[in-house]
Amino acid sequence: MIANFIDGPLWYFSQAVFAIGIIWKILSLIVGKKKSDLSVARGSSVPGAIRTIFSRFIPDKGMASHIKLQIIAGYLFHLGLFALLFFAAPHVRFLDENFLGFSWITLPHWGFIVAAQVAFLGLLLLFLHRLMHQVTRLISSTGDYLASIITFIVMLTGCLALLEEFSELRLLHRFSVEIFLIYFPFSSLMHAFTFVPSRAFTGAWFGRRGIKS
Amino acid sequence: MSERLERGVEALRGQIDSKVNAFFSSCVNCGICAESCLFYTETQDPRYTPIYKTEPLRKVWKEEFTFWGKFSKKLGLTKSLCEEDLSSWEELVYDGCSMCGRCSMVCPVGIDVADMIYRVKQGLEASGYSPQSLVAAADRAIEFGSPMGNILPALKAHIKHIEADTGLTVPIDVEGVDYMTTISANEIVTFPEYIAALTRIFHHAGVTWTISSEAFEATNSGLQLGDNKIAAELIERIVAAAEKLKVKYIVSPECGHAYSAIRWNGPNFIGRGYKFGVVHILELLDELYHDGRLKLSGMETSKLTFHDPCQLVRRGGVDAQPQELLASVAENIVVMKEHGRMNWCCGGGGGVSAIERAEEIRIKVFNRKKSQLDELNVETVVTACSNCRTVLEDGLDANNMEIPVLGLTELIAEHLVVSDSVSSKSAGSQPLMDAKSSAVSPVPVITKKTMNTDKSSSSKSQKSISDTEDNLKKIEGIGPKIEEILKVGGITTFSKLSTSQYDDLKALLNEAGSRYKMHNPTTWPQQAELANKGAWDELSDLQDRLLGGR
Repeated sequence: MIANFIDGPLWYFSQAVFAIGIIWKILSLIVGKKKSDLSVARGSSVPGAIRTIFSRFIPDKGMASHIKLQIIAGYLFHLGLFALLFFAAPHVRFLDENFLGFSWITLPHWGFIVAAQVAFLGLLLLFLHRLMHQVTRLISSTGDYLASIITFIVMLTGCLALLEEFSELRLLHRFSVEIFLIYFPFSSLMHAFTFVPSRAFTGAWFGRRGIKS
Repeated sequence: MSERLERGVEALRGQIDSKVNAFFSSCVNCGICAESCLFYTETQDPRYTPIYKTEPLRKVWKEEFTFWGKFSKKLGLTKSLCEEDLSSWEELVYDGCSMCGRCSMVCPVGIDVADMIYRVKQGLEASGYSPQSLVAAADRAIEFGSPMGNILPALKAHIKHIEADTGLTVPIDVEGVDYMTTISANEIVTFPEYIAALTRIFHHAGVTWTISSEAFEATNSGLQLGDNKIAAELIERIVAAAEKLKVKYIVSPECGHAYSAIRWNGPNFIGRGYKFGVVHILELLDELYHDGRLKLSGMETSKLTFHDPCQLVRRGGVDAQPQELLASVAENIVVMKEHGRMNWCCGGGGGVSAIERAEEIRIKVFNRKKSQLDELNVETVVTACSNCRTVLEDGLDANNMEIPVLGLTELIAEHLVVSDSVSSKSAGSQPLMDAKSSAVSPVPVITKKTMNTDKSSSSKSQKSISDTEDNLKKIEGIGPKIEEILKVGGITTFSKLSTSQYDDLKALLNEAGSRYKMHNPTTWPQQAELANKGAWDELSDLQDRLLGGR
């Protein structure tokens, strides 16, 4: 009964919330109120936007030594998660069978373990930093902690689901993913999508002033 | 909800657009921006984290523009923005942010934090939570045309001197010329040599130019305050003057925020584009130099560095020109480890230097610049912003660092190839560039004489502040530098200050240099009397009623 619910209605509902939430947010950013700039541009905003979308993947050299932990942990977590999400064999198989109809190269079992360890290490370091550093402790909201915890649970249940002979573990992973998908559009997890327009807005602003940002 | 809170919330609500939505939706509170902010790095107080300064705006956004915010509000789980928040954030936003925009360059998700802080300023200002010194400066700008009051007589007096010294005419209200030059109040009051430099350079290069007696002031107090109506009014005056005089371009002074105000924000403040162009003085000089109309000779040999004004370089895009111009007159230039668009602010931008109560933190955060200069061990600092220059001089003085600070335009003017027509006092005002002029190699301007520019420095070594001296900085209007001037002048205690005559105090200030002439010591003896009696509460009440010690 519960399994059917998780594999059925809840799964479709969570996907719908996730998809509609993202589309809604992106549309609201596209069609929402914008202040037009009447000053004469020195440079172009589009190249500026594109530049900044990519340039912010690399931290400023002068800043790097002050934010080593955030950089290393941030990259470990995001790269590990990216590898798990798009190259873990069960995920590729799932996407192939349910959505795409094609597959691609997948991580070997040991690769999965390494990627998971890297992602866990990054996430834990970021979480500890959030708890322990005076700045992040002050500025973090309940939502930030909740987002980290939900992500952690999804990753943990994902590792447990590797034991495919226990269908309950797969079900547990799917349930956690559903919670994640439902929570996603209402939380700072949305940065996974909104970082693009955010960087683009700023890059465009700098670009029309002829500044590399 | 009180009326002033309502005004604040309404103003903040009006700031929320797609950009703010994208920024707050993307912020994961990583705290990286803290490390880019000198107010955090030098105080280690996490409240100065740039993104934290936007909290009032975020509260309104969250409560009114997000699902959970609206939901929580319905359930009564949200702590809405209140007057205490606005009151607390006033100090963080106005005193603790120079709007340098360094945070906007490092945010991993690309948030333009400085832009968001300016939006918060607008909310705070609308609700009446803004520093009185900035409000008063804006009022003076509206009433008298300048944040320093009616300084047209001072400008005219300087012009008279410049004309007498150079034999050139400073054109006032001349129609149909190419360039209308604007000047910042600080340049008129503190660095009038800037106007003399412009006069010589424009004459040398054959530039047709004028100053409008109706709108010469480039400082925009509305921008510093976060009041777009005042900002627009001040821009409108300049625009009207430029249109009346039918000029092709407005020349912004070195002052970075003045440049931002007229070049980038101006059209948006007034809601329409200009019929003329706007050019920063260094852009113009660079163009003249590359066109061969600026003939320079002689090189500075002393070890110097350039302090990049944030609003000019990082936020204004005038990046390469200062470097090129400086390289044309100096050969021993060293750069700070973090320079150009990632330079550290002097700490006094965004109106911070105009807020009396912010003096302590401004001096504290200057430690960042001090460290940069200590690493280089330079003999001279050159910059291109009169506000940076004043703040740098204050910071250097407070740290007993004897490094002269020069303005780039003045430095360029000192290296002009002197033609007969320019050097002659009877040359008149006809702009004439004589390419075949007889070149006279100027002596480097950074000499031993200019190295010892601090008026009180000769006395510094003799000065020893004893335990019996009072902390005169408790008197509103007296900062570290003025305290030093008074103590060198023998006024070391509250008792002595309380019995001092206005004329004597004024004389001490005048003697210390033009920068101190603007200070008004009228209430200092009265304040000192209360301090001497230990009547701190009465002193505090009195200071609440004063504005910058006046």
